[in-house]
Amino acid sequence: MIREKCENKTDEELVLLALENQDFYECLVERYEEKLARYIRRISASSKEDVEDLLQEIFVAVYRNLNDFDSGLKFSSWIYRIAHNKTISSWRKTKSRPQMVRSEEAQELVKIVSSDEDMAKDLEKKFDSKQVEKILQGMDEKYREVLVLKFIEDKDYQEISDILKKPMGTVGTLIRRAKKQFRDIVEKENIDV
Amino acid sequence: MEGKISGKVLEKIKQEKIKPDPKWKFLVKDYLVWTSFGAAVFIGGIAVGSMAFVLINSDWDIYPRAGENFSEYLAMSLPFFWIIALVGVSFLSFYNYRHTKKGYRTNPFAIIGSSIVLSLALGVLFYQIGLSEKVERSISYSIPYYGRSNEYRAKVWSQPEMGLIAGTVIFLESKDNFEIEGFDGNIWIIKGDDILWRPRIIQKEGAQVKVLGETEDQKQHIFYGKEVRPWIGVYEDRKPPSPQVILEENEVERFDN
Repeated sequence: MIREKCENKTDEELVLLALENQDFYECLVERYEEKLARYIRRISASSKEDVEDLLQEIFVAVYRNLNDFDSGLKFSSWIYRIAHNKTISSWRKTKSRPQMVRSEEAQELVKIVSSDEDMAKDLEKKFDSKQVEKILQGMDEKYREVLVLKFIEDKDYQEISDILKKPMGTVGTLIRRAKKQFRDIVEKENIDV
Repeated sequence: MEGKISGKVLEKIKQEKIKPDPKWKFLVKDYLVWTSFGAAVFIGGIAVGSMAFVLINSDWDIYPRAGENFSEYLAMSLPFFWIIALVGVSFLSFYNYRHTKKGYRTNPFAIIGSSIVLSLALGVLFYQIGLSEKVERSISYSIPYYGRSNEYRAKVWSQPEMGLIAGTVIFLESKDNFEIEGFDGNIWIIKGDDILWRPRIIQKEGAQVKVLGETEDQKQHIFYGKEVRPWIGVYEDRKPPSPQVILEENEVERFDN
């Protein structure tokens, strides 16, 4: 019943409805649980159980802060921001270094990064997943996170700016430097690309 | 996949009776951040205005005459307190602006630049309306740096042989004939022909002033004055008696004599 009512509603409309009737919140959770679970896995080394716990914590936090949602932002940017902050904060608590991406996703990242115009000049599409993991492990966290958001989560500059709470110019600079660092590590490690 | 958790989340929300935090809580937080930003810019304006006041009134024309080393004179005259305050509040306003809802979208240099420009504009306004002078005079009681600066200026202005005297007006017959008790403790009779009294000096007993001129009689403590300038801040005692009290004391002394 509620699910039918949720159809054709935008996220922003669902936020308003959820503030009136909490059942509508379930629709928002359904829309984002897969995406956020994937994102958390990409930026942390969490186990399945940890991801699920973190997701619950994130969705409860989002619900508590629904009145703070600024309609000038995309809801997806806002919820990704909360997910990002919670994940980083959880990582800091456990002091375990985020693994970033697993083999299959490393391959995915390489494909996308390689198809990027600038990157394609230097990199061919024959990365080995393990090599990419090695490259990513060697990258600074601030560069890894923009690479994931840009090339895997497919976020645009404005969305990345809203998620990381950094000016767009800074995001552009981070992405440029991330690509450079990616290339530098490739050269330094003498990885055959 | 972690499995559908939407049901679990909703169950938890219902079981624990979790409610969205009220909107006013977020609004209060936003207003506090904006108010802090405004306060930082306001204090920045006071700092700029006071800096301008100090620099304009630093008697840059007298240091060669006073035989002072320029770098020392500069070091003692620069309003370091306000410079540090301006840097501090600029970062504070930057920090506050960055914590507004969309503050992160603005370039940090643009935020700091705008905050300095706003402070400059307010500073000019505060200087024009005389607020900077009031702040400068009242703050000189409580800040140690001002004590050192005051001591130095008093030393520079206690050189009658160089034509520099500063002190409190203790007897005022006319603008060309008055007496001051110098900060070195000596009483000086000031005479002159159409002495220039700079604006902002209240021409009455109890006022603290600086007098430019030349010594006429060292033994008799007679000084030929050419120009009177206001003493910025308040020298000695940190809490000087009000001009009214000085006036009354002078009345008693003259009566006794």
